[in-house]
Amino acid sequence: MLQCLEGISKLIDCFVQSFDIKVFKHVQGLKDPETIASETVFSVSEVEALYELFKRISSAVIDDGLINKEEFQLALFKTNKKESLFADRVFDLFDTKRNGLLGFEEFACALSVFHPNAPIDDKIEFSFQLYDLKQKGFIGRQEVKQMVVATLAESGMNLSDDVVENIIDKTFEEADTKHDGKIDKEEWRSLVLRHPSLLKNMTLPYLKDITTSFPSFVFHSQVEDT
Amino acid sequence: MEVPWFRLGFKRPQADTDVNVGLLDDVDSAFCVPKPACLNAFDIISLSPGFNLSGLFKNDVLKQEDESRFTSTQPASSIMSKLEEIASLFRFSFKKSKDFKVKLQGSEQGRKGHLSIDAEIFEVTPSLFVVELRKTGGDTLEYSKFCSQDLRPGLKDIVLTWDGNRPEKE
Repeated sequence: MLQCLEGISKLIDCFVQSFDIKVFKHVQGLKDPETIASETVFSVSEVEALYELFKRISSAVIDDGLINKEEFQLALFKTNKKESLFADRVFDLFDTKRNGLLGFEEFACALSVFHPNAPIDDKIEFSFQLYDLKQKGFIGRQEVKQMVVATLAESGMNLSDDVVENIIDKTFEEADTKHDGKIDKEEWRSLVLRHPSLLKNMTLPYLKDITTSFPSFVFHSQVEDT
Repeated sequence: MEVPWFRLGFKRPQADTDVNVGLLDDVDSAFCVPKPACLNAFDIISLSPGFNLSGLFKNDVLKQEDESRFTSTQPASSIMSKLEEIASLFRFSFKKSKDFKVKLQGSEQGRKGHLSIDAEIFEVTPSLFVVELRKTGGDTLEYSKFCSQDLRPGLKDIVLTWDGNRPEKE
């Protein structure tokens, strides 16, 4: 009986693909929530709820089932007029295929790190890469300065160069335990374990309630037969 | 609850987590010089809205009004005094703890109970401080109104800049 159903499902797949009609893109879009659930900390129903969010974000400008940078900015800031060094950096980290577009798998895998239940090591790793602007494997003083200045500018706070240098000096004094002018992964890890609040942006409590915020109405007939 | 006589003498319960704050205050202030928590470069960076992905889940930018920040060149103790002054002016109760955290609670019952606000002072440099304000109870619209009509004008003298992340009103 099961084989028969599988056969029919394959037939339908071929049928659908041969038509290549846009309306089927969404129906067909989330073929394997189970696969994505197994690659992330999300449950199958959480993956489906996340897909609802993804659909909303990815159709905002171009309805192609993918999130481009503009749609990402729009989703974050509710305006596409806001340029942000950080949003760019986050987008780049999400975009593991490096094609300037986020597919659902990239979206879900990246957001998985932000789940309250995600391992802290994943959060430490992600945040390190986030701050490693030049992707050299360490966080340099110049990069920290660039980010501090950008943040202060964004919030309308203008501090003198002296003050900024002072802040960075103090930070490096504490973080750069090897005294080589840069913060490597190990040093970042111990800094963050001493100051857990530095990882607060790496956890999104909303992800725990995602099935209630984005209910999906997909019915499973073949997921669990037990 | 719709029946008025039932509400006589009813006070909406409020969870109060820092019950023993007052006692520890006295002991500690006798022995050590209190200092606000220091913000390092990465603390500042994590204040950036671009790093805060919670926007992805919100439909309404206005909901972010629950939290705001301002900078001040006044010493932490002056900031505390100013907050205390405003609290008594607008009949809010004022509770402070040794780590420069303050809890304000309105005396009036609003639509969703008493308005309660947490404030925390951080040091950026010895001459620059950041104060984080957060609504912890009560109605959001009442909080917004209190901020724009009472709190912000009241703090005018000590505020250098307000956090520019307030939503643009269209």
